[in-house]
Amino acid sequence: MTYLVVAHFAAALVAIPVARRLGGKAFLLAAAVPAATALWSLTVLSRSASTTSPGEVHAWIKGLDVDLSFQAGGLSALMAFLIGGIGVLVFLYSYRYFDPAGPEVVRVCSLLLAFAGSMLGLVLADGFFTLFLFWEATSVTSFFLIGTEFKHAAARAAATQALLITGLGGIAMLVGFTIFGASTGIWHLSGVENAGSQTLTGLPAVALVLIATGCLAKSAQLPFGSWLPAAMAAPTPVSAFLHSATMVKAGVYLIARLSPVLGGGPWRALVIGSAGLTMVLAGWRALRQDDLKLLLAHSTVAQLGLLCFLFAMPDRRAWVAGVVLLLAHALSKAGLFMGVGIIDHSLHTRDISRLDRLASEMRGVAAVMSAGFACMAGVPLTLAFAGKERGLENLMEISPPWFYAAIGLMVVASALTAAYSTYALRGAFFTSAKGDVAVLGRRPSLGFVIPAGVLTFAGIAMALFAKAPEMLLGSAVKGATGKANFGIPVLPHVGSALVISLLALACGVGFGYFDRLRHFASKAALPFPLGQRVYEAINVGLIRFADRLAGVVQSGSLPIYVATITIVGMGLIAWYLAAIDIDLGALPLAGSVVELLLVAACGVLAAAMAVQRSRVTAVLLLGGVGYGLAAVFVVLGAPDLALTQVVIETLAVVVFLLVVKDQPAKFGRTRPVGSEVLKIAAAAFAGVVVFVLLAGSEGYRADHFVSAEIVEFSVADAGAQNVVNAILVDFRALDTMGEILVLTIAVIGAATLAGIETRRRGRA
Amino acid sequence: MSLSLAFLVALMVSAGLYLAMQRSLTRIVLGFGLLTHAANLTLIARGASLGRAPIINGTWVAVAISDPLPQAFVLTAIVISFGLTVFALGLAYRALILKGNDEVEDDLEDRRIARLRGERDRDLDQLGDELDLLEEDDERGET
Repeated sequence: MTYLVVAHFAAALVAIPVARRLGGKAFLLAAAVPAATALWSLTVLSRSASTTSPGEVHAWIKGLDVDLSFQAGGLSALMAFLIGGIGVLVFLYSYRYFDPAGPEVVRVCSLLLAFAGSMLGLVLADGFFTLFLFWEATSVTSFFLIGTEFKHAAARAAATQALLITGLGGIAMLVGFTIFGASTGIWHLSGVENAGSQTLTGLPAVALVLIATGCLAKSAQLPFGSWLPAAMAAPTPVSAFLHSATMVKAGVYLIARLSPVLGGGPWRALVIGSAGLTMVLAGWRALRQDDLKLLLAHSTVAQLGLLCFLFAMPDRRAWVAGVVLLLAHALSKAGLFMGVGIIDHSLHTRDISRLDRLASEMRGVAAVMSAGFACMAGVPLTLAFAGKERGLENLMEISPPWFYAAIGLMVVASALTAAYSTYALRGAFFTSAKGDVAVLGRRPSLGFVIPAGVLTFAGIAMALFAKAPEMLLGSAVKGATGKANFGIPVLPHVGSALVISLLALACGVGFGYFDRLRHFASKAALPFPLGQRVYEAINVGLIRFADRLAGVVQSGSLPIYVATITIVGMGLIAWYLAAIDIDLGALPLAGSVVELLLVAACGVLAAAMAVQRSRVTAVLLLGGVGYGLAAVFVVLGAPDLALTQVVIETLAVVVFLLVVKDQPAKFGRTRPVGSEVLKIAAAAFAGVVVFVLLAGSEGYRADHFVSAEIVEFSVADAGAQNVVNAILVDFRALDTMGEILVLTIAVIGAATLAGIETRRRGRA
Repeated sequence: MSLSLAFLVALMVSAGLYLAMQRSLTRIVLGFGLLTHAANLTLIARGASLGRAPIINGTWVAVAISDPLPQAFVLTAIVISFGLTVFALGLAYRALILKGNDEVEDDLEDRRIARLRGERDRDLDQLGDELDLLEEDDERGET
């Protein structure tokens, strides 16, 4: 598994020079990589019905339970099959879609491979952090793919929007994973599954809500749904692969993994509520679109809602319906997107009102799209019909009152699906254009249509030859429910579920068929702002808020910054000091009379320095404080320091005087008196805090003499009687080296600053 | 550490910070000089300074001499702070040559951001329009 994932990324790198040389043909070569994934997943699917395959674990950060781990369960293998299978067709389709010499070929080919690798890593991941890593990798590759036409402002804005929303969702999920792992000790999906069904309370329940939030954002559910329609700025192969079949299913996938085992807390209600609302509202929105691709985008949001809705149900029979629909939707929607791409390519428009009875001119595309819409809407004898009917049947068997609401939602959602499918199909292929008629350019070649056809007809074929879906779905279902044999009915059971689904279908078809009815829908705007407007308001509001905040906080005045740092820093120390016992009376006034006199002298000089207005005098006062300190060092038993201090202080005073001599004799006055008061207050506060800190903490000393060993080895090892010297040039010689280096750099810097001007002056 | 030394450190911190809050770069550098002194004195006064230099003449008794390690650290610190002073003075000198004074002015860009709020609002309206390109057809039904 690891090799397969890594191979994708390696291929993505290799694809760059290859695609530069071969152009569009590189897509055909690249198709080999997802083909390998598809074959591998088939072997796993045929095997793992009987045994669970072992996982692969690579150590990463050992102390923190972070590892790189993969495991291929039934659902993972199914997803891998979709990624691989649809991936192959998308690459074949891209070969016809893109201009073979166009600039985007290299970019798209490489990024699609990287995306397929990220997505594969996501569905195979076992460890939470592995999952998160690939989760974000899909967000990032999606960002670049949406921005393929980066010269358009709309594409850039759409890419940013998708990244922000799915990325923030991912971070919520990371927080959720961390809380979950820290509070339960489980850091792997397999660990969650092995622990069996559990009802969570407290922290893990909160964590699960955060994880579910990430899933909803990734799968474009309310209130995060706005990015997916915007992402249609991407080229159609990208939309077909990422934004209908695979990436947006990541959230659905994770919900499907967790739902069978984790109950309790509000997460189920959150997902069911959000998804239930989404599948109806997004369906309504799809009905209002004239752009075929946008219609499909809204329909994707709605169908993802249905999937999340079913997977989040506590009953596992709804889960089985969900997984059947997952397969059905991935196949039909990817095919439909490809179909729209062909129309766009041949007629340079996707506007339903400009398409004139396309069925007579593009029979193949018409057949492919009809099959796709039929599969999506769930016409009898398709896989989706079987899945939906099963879902309804299961919901009806369980009888708490709110399941009736759930059935109602599902019926409305199904009717809406049928309605917009009918509308799109009829408007594009079977009615005359209402606006100016789009002219058919080049007829699409057979190779262009076949990938789409494979996908859309697969939905019908799988319902008729039930062995295929049972093989694909069997181990996933077994993993979730414990039963391997679930059976997909080719012919519907006669019962209330059948009546309800047929009724919903009929209502929907009628609604979509009669223009007057649909017109009514397109007139009725939704009662509350959704998606795009909210995103825009937050976006603009945040920047505006940042502007205001920066205007206040970032004043640009150095004195204000220093005063703020002083007050906050010292305030924190004071806050801490207030909490501990301090005995100020424990200290002696001074070690000796000499010390007291020196301290008094230094203090007077330092205080005078603060208020001194003459530059030269202030510099000399600083020198005076320095010499005074040298004397204090002597008293305290540090003659080396005293020597150094005298030398350095003398040098410093000389340098100061060199600079000061060209400056005005006096410092300027501070302008506003109020700010002067603030400065004095802040400085005085700092002084008080430092005094209390130093005097008060004396009693907390643990060790009084730390260098007994150094003293012991000084003569023997370093041959030095002066221990300080031994430390500087022997025991810690490297420190001294560094010190010399720092000093050299500082002096070079200062010399450069002063020297440039001197040279310029010399020339002038 | 005696009360008088603690008082001296506190006084130097106060005076140093007060100077660091001034507009003249020379005063700021002077302030940093005082802060450095305060820090060095703290380390030495705290570091088991018992009054006898850590110099070994034949025999020694560990408890009777001052701790040499803080002394070595502070010696390094004194020299490094000299480097800082020299560099800062280089800056002050350059400011003097270029501008005729060593005043630290407010950051112009920051002042501009604080002042030009209205202009930014117009930029943001434009951003809103760009995002509107992606707007779903909420109003199309009505128009």
